[in-house]
Amino acid sequence: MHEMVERYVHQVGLYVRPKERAEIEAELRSQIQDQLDDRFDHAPSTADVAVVLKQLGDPRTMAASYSGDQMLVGPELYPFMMTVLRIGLPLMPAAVVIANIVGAALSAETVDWFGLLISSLFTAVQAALLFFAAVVLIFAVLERSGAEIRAKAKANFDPYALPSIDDPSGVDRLESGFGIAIGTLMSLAIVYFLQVGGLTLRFNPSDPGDVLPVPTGWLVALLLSIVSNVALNLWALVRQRWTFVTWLAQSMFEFVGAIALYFAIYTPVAERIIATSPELAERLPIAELPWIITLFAVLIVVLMNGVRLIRLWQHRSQPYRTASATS
Amino acid sequence: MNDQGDPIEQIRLELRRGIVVLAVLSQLDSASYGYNLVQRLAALGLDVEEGTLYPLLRRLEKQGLLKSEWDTSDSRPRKYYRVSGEGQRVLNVLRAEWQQTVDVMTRILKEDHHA
Repeated sequence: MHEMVERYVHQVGLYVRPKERAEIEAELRSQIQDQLDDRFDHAPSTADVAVVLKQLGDPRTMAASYSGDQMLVGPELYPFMMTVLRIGLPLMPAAVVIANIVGAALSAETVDWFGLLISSLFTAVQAALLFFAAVVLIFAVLERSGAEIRAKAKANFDPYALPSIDDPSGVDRLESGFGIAIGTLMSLAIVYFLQVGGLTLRFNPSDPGDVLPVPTGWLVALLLSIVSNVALNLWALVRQRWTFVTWLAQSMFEFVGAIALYFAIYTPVAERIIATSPELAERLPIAELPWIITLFAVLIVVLMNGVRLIRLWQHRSQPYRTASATS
Repeated sequence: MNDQGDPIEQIRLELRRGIVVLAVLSQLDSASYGYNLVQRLAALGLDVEEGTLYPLLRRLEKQGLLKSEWDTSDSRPRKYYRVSGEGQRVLNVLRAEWQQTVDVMTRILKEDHHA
């Protein structure tokens, strides 16, 4: 099987339902090969394959044809939205309930556990609905705003420009979905913290409980870095590609986010623990934890993102467009 | 090119959508593979893009109107499609429906022409 065909089939497979993917890929591979066999007496050249794939059209359009009718969020973005929802929807209510319970357990006040459980469940449902609405809204806007860009890309579809299967610039559905889901969750939480004037584990706007004041500037910086990261992930989804520059920007925002976390979350929380539980601070290195966690996070950002950054740089200097020159 | 801005193209696409289903069902009384079907339809005067036909074959198969079989006797597997019993029944109904539609539309367009 010609390598360009494999790349095409792989791209189609990225946008169809996962449970149908293997079968659709097998069918499509066979159908393309039938066409190549019937149209060309000789072994098809790269140029021959490119002509056939060009006629088949953009892989996303082909995948959309397999997916049926249009929706509020079209078939190109729908799998990504579902990934974000699958990750975020179970996390959001769980995080709210756990935060409320932990907050109550650490509180000095007497706790009505039954009342807390009921209010936590109610808040969790609200949070899940808020998360669902935010994600659907983001993807619906993306669907409309990105339509022109995607239509242009489809019209200019060039088989020679199909990414290789292990292309580092490819957008990983799980990775982007996780980034967008966590980013949206954290953004909603930070907006809540800004609204109530600090950190709290009780997610109830009318009764936020014990609020720990934190530097607002760093909280805003954290929010901006997270929102920027979500925006970059969405950008990558629309263009189906990470570039060296966008990945570098994402890494920078993650770096800024890690520093902002140190000032806006870790340090105030550590100081509160030292003040309220000095015996705990004696047993554990609470004062050192903020910079240890931050150092660890920065190292992960540098190592994980750095490897891909290098691959993207190398990939940039070795474009796959050479195929057209060899045919 | 914005298809949504071209009403003729939009309507043409809508008209063709149903026709292609009927044409495909009518040609698959004997087993055929995707590209072969494209060629047969083209020889009969109906050009169908492969990007339209291949997903359609899968959709009709999922609806139970076609049945398929992988032929693995050759050097590489090839998928053959054939109309199912249910597909044949649907085809007969649609064929009569189509004939009726053609008659009606011929009359309507003729009247429109004279108006």
